[in-house]
Amino acid sequence: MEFRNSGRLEDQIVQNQFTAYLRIAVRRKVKDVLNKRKKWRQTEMLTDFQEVGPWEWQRAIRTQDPAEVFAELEALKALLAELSSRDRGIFLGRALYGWDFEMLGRAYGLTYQGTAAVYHRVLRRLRQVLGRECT
Amino acid sequence: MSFVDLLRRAKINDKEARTAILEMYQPMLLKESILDGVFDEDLYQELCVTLLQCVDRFQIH
Repeated sequence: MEFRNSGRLEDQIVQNQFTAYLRIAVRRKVKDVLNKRKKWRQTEMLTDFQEVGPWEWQRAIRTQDPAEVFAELEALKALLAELSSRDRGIFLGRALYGWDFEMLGRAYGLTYQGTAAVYHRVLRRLRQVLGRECT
Repeated sequence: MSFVDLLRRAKINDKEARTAILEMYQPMLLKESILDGVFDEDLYQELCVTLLQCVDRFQIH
């Protein structure tokens, strides 16, 4: 059985109705998938490439004066304490557990973009506090 | 078997009927899964799920 037909018989009419219904659903799904991928490229990859990799932090910590490291950790603790519980939850969820923005957004009642904006705002503030360049 | 009978059976989770409908519409789904000339397998899998959702939701009048 093919999905193309002459559309004359009753059965063929129903099939053509189903095919039209399916085409609309398929076009919507393709658009939805492409939009999600575009959003991922704009946000997730930006986060991944702009952040300092963990190996660089480890190298920095090993070569740093322990007193400096301690001071930075204290500054980090103070900054995290200043944040609202929502902002802290989003930042730590992403930074420590690698949860994606969509999941965090659902948990905190925000959109994907809203969650990403909160995360990047905290990250910028953290870099300012630790004396690193903002991106 | 008519399409309507096939669809009715697929709606009650008849595995053979659902497979037959997937095979019937496979050319369309494959065509829609080609992006910039490259076959996107993840997208194809998503569209197969979409087809089965349509089978469940479509109302036969």
